[in-house]
Amino acid sequence: MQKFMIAVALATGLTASAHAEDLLIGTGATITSIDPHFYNASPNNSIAMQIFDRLAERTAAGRLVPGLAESWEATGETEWTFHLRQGVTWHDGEAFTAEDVVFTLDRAGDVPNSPGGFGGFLRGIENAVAVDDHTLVITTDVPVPDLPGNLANIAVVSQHAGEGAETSDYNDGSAAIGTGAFEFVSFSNGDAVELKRNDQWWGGEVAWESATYKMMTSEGGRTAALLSGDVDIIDTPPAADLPRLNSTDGIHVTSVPGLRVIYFEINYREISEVTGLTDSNGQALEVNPLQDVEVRRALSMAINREAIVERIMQGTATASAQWLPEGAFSYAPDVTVSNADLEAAKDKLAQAGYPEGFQLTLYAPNDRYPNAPEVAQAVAQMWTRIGVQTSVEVLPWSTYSSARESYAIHIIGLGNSTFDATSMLINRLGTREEATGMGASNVSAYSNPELDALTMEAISIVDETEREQALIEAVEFVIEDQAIIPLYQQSNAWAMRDGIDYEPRIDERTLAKDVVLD
Amino acid sequence: MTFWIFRRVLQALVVVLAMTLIVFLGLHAIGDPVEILLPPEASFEDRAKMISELGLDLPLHEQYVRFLAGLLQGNLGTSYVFNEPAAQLILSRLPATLELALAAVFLSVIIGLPLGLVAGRNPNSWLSKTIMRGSILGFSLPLFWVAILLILIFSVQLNWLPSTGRGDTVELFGTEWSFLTTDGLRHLILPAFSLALFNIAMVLRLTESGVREAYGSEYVKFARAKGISPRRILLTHVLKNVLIPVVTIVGLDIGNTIAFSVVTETIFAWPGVGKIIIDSISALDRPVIVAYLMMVVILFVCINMIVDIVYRILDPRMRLEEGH
Repeated sequence: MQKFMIAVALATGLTASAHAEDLLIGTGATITSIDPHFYNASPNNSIAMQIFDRLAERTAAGRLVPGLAESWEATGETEWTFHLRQGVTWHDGEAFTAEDVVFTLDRAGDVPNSPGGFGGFLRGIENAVAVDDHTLVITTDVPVPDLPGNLANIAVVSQHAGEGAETSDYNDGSAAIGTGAFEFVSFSNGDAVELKRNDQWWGGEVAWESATYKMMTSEGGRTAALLSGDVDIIDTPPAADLPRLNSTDGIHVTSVPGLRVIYFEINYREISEVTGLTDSNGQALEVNPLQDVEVRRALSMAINREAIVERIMQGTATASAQWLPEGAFSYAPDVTVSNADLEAAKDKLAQAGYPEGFQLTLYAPNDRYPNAPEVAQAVAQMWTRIGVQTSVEVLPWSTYSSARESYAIHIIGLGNSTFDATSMLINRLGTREEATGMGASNVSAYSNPELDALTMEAISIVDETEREQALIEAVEFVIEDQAIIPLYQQSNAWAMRDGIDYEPRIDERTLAKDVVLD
Repeated sequence: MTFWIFRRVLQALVVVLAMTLIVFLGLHAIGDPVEILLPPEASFEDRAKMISELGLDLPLHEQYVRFLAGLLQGNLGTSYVFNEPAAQLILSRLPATLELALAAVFLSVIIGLPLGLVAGRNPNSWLSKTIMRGSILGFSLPLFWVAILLILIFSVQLNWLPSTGRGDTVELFGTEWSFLTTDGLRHLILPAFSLALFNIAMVLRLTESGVREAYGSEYVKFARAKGISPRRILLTHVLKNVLIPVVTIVGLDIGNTIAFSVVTETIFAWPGVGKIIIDSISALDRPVIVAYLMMVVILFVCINMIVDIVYRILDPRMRLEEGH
């Protein structure tokens, strides 16, 4: 059997290398549109990053590097100047100019029917002016030090092709004219996206004449397609298949701890608005015990993160006490994972006035994060051992996500597209207030003026080093206050046939242009 | 009779209307698409803009009236995540599903019928017993499991057939079809066969019992006595009688096959209606879900109505019962 498998693998490798110039990608997500400003979802962004370029780009590790802008600097408290790359042309041969960027910034936040666009990244931008063909000045109404980072999410589209174009014009290709590494060939939704190489690309050599993204939502199907040689590379291989993929000749896997953190979100509302929280006899409580920081600390102390990562996640995650992986901007080196301590956790509970504990329901989605129900079960057992009798309630994501505001405590993930601490600080932990723009996704009703002040200060510092220091301070504050209880960062993995390689990205994107021949 | 038909059509309309209400209320009970679709970095303005553009800020009854008004003009709304008309989205995927379902039905007949004839002709032979025992697998194995097993054997181990997607297509009558190309056919075999397995077993068993019954009947005995060759008896006299229930069941089952293809399409990444429905449910893309359900409802209501009308035309007794 072993020999037979090797023979199959060899034959597969041979047939595949005969078409080495065509890259076939099996992607687990559904690409819904080619319009790069229609829907801010990872699969759509992966495609957009092939056809279009951005002013600044991100490396696989998330570091900001020049893109269509060769350099930029803050030319005032609220003014940025971008120097654009010379000699870049659109796929149809027209020259790329600063006017295109002005057009892009105008369009990106305002696509009709968008179910969640890019407006959040354009926050604060007041005006963009093309000083000349290759110089762009952007003014903001408040200091926005991370503007280049935000603009690394905005695909630059051409004015001449995009003027008046709707989403459908991008989907049929007539407006999908970019400066990117690949040109658009075809898009059949739910099925595949075909691309062909742009030989004029400024960004260097691309190994593939053409690339096809095949949408394969079934996990087993994706693994099978790779094993049978139907595709060259797959993203999000199922954790259970990784040992098999790793041990198959002719296949290898690469992975890296990703930006997506899985954590517990705690409900800070009054007890009457919270479901899944009663005293140890099942009677109604007077106050919400989760509002007490010592109770939250006890819960966090009782969790054996290393065991969860090792046994349930089978090594496809990294235990964490904060929400960013090591090495990311604003990662706090002093916040480390400590061992579970059940005795100390019990003492803390008793000190907080709950010697008998209480009854808690832990909510988890069953179709969103890998192994989330199993992780919830494990944590429920750990909590029950310190006297917090925990039961688990598992729901499909579509129902789950709408009722989150009432859950006492629930599992949630954040796939961070700011690549630093700010997304969590501003959108999820900031006090919900339209005037400040903070807390737009704050489901937990956490509100702490001290943290708000720290965040506000940190995000207005222009100096990189100082800003990072201030953000680390905010991260430490959040963890000290146990505002959220982080569990682990999911790893991003890709499996591929031998002969090609892909540097694993912390942002989950699968980029054909970066797949290299060995 | 005319009055009766008129009344029957009216009834059908009431059913469709009731169905729209149930679908509409059901979808609103499931969850809120805003929470699912909005990225965590969305600002308050993003949220407000999305809610108002999708009409989610209106009271439920107003959304319902809007939906009904759209329905009357043949407009089932625009998909939230695809930004394309929901009806058009479903229609564009329908050929792939029909192709798969019809291929499965075709396979069930060309495999099930001959096996059933063999098994029914000599019910006591070891071959017949093997066929009949084997057919139990077709009923009892879960579809998704068979599909994965087929992929494992024919794609991964033997590397004979592709495991995913639709392959090359050719345009015919304005739509893309894959059964007209070799590559397309290769892609079609595994999903069609796994979808057909249940039907193969059913056709086989129906044929077998029909053949056995026919061989015990007077007309076959008479034909034999007359000296007609066994081959002619089987293929002309017996087969014709056996075919009637088989054709009825196969016809009725096309609907089921289309419904079951949801699972098959997901596993084989077959770009049909089933796959888009699964995607849309997990994204709570309401217009697409509603459009799909409405099409199914209208289809079934129409079929039932036509059947009722035809019965009454064929059988005068039913008209008398009604007292009209």
